Amino acid sequence: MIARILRLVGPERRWLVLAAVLAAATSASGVALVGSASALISRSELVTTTATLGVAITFVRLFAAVRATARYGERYVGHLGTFRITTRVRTWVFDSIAPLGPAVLDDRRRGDVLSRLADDVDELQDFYLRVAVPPLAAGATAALAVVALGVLHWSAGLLLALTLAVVGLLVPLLARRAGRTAASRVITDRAAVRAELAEHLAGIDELCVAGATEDLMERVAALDQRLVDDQTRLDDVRGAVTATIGLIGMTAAAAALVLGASLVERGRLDGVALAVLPLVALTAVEAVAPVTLAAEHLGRTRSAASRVFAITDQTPAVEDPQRPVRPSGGSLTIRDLTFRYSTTDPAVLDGVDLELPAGTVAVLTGPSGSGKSTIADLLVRFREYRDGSIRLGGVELHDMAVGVTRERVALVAQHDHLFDTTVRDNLLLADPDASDGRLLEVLEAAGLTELVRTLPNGLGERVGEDGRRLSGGERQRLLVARALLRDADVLVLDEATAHLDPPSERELLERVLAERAGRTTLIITHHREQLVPVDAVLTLQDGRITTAPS
Amino acid sequence: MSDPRTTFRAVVEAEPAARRPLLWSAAGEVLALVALLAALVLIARGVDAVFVGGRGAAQVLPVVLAVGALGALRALAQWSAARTAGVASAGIRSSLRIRLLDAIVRPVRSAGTDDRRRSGDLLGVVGDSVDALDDYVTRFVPAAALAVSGPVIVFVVVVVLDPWSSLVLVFTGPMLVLLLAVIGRRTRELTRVRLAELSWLHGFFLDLLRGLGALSVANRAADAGARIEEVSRRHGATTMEVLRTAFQTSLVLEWSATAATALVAVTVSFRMIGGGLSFAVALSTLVVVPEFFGPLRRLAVEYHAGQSGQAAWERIGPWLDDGPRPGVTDGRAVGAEVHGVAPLEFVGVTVRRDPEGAPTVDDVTFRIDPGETVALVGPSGAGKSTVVALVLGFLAPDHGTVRAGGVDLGEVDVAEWRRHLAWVPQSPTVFAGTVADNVRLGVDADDDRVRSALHAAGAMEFVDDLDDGIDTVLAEEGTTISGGQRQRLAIARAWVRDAPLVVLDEFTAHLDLLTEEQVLAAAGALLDGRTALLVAHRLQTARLADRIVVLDGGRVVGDGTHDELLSTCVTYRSLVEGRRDGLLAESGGDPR
Repeated sequence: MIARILRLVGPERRWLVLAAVLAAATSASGVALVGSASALISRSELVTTTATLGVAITFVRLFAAVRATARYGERYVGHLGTFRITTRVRTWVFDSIAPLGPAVLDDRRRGDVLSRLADDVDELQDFYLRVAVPPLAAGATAALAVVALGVLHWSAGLLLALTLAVVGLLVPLLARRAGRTAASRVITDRAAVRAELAEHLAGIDELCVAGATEDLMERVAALDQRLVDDQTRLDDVRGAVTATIGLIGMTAAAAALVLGASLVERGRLDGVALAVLPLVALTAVEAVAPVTLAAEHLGRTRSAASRVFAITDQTPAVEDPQRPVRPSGGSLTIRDLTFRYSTTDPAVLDGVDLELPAGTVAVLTGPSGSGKSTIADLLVRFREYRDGSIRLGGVELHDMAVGVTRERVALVAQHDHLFDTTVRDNLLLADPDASDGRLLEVLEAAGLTELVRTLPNGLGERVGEDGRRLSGGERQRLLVARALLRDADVLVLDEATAHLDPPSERELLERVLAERAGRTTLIITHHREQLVPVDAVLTLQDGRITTAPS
Repeated sequence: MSDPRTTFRAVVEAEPAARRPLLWSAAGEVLALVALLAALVLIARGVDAVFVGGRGAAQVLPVVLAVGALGALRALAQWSAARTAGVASAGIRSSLRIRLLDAIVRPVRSAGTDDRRRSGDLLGVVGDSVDALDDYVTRFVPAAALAVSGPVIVFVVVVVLDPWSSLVLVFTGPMLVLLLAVIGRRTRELTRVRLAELSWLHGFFLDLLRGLGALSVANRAADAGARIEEVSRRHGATTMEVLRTAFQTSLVLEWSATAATALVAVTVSFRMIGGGLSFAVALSTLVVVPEFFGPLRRLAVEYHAGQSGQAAWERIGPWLDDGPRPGVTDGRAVGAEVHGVAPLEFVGVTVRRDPEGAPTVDDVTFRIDPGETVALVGPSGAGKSTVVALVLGFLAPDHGTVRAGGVDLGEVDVAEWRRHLAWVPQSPTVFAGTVADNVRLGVDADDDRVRSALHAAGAMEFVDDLDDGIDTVLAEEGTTISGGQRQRLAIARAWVRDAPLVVLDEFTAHLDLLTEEQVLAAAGALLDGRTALLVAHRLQTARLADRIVVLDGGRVVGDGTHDELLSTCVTYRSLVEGRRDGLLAESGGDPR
């Protein structure tokens, strides 16, 4: 898993390496500054003229300058790297999901799944700077400090190596083990509070009026208490880790002092170097301490990564055929089509037959949940069908490239999406090369000319998140305009006019049908009154089409 | 963005019981620092004893043991500081969560707060924002406390050790604080820009994910990845431009800290050679000086926790000070008695939800007599839901009064008032629990009463078809029952309450015609003998009423029976004839 997360960043890895090098330079020069400064003072005790201190003073200044500069560079490169890596990870995730089609994300709570995915991707990109870099920097600093003390005397190097191994390896390991239960319980507790709140806040106004809020308060308070208890346990572990590392640092410094003293006593170490031992030990332990935080963070990125990979690793719902065929004409024929969402589910479509000669206008109606939208999904190849046949222009959809099918069939889906950009950009999605004149034509056909004329920025007006700045009716008209711009052989409108009142709905459908004269249009709707003259009215019930063309 | 100091004070004072642990935590941090300084000075003395004094390892052992003991003391102090900060954070968050729920649940909300009430936002505030304060309290607050006291302590120690070296701190310290203040103000703005940028990019990514279907249908999904890359790169470039300057704070801090250490090392060594300074003092000073900057450096590290806590508080704060609430004085309910619900009178009521925009409801006056049913109609945005919110006690008028039975609703405890109400909303919520639990929501009713309510609401039929009748557990969000069944369940809820005033809010909006007829029949029976306000968007619903009040642009433009209004009210006529998106028509799909 970790190797896979690392591979994900590809060439952007250089930023990680650079950040790690700079981080190592920062902490190593910090340790070196302490070492050289204490050596300088020790030497000053023995000499009588400042002239002989030149080298030591230069080192002190050098390490000071390197430390400050490296720290600045580390922060800068770190953030630059995060941006680059973020971009790359997001692009990769999107490119992995795009061929899967929206069906893989289909879930009862699709909105939640998507925001979860976006959050997980954010968490994943935290991995690089917060998990990968600190151990690298700590390792480099530790190695330098151990070598430096080892040069003075091997036993001092060994002492520091053992200490740093405890701080950098053993403590993070133990901390993770001690905190794991509490950490996972905090996550569960938090989810429980959220779930309780989510359920009741949705109906909070009703609970208020019903005077039934006491219960909610009590239950939230109880769940919250559990969350708080578990979090306190986690805080305990964290506090204990900080305290332990501090204690180890101080003990190591004390031990280094004793060791140094006995080495000096036995003439194995120059007294000038004595001060370096405890002070470098203390500073080096501080430099290695962040590894524990990184280890703690690893757990979180791991589960985020596994959720992301679980989505991206799915296989596409539909695939292109070996030798694709191109269809001719806009007739649509469905024969004995049976579909179930999974092998264990009951059949949503159970032997659907439907015949729409090119240029036909048909209404498909039926109670909600009868499978009308499933037919729309199958027509644009969001899902694969196994039993029965769907032919477009005489060619089985299986035998066509998916892209070709989608060129031929335009869909306004029931919960279709408008992007948080301008009217123009939302339309251009359907045809990037369309001129403004052409855009105004389809807007006219969708009855939006008046609106666009009154918008301060016209076509350049932003529509807001999923078109929230438009009214329900305007939003649907814009979606219809986008589909009209496709100029496809077959247009499927899935509840595309549901937010309009009947007179406006009738007017819009009339405009659309006028625009599409001579081409196939399928209008899916849940209500039965017929608003416009059509060639056929089909009713889907219990998985079958029950009304013959009228 | 509000002042960080205000936020700090508000968070710290959010829970009185948390003040003591917070003080203990700060004391622990200070004690840990003092122990560290003492240990450092002792180490320096130990080195001096061996290097200058020529003592052996055995003779420095007491010093070494003392260093160990100080290390243990420091560990204890750190642990206790972390623990008490955790306790404080837990207390603050629990108390805030309950206070927030109380603010949402109990009293009237004031104008201008309407948009906050969407459930996603509420969840974000009560759930995420409150949790986000944990890092603020456990990391940022102690770091901030130490950043104020730590440097002073270190400075005093340096003055005692070597007054000359303290001059270095005298110069670098204030310079540093000054520079930090200047740069800090800029950094705060830059951080805000950066956060906004990041959340914009996050939103852009999410928008594309949400629109995957639309992209696929248009054969454009493959290009979208490239677009993410292009847009992110463009934004990344501008943001880095901004960040380059923001990081100057850290450069200044690091440069000052290291320069001070280096300067002290060099000057001290010169003075030693000059004979003016002992080795012990020189080394002690050298090891203590860097700690002057330690607390500031730590604050810089926790800056992020401070920022996200600040952002969280900006979402929480407004909920907790909504200003004066009607029905509440000094946090306590006022207790005028409710003398019956009717006549229900609106007298010159004005509400301005958007403080800068036009009033949502403008000088509205109308009344509902006892036992009368009045329908409220009008184009969308006419102010219908605001009138309903006023009646339900979610909102208080900016001007004018709403009176029930002659008593101003502003003087009645809102919970008491709501005991006299039943409300059937546009899309009723089905709570996790049994059918019976859902019907007797907030009322103490036995199974027989629940059954008769379901019967009266025309819901018994489908409830009997469920596996366990009224004991059937309905899934979260009530997915197992249809919209029409849900409405009938809500009507049964109103039956069980047996309240004298019934509010029906566009309750057939999402239903098809056949279901609508059934629900209307059930509602008609409920209204019999009660006072009722119903918001109608269809003629059939309006016809349940004795009288119709027409709203347009927040004003009452008509008040009378169907026939009267047809001849007198232009708005009403255009609504009936379907010329306006007022949605009052014989039938319709799913109008907004």
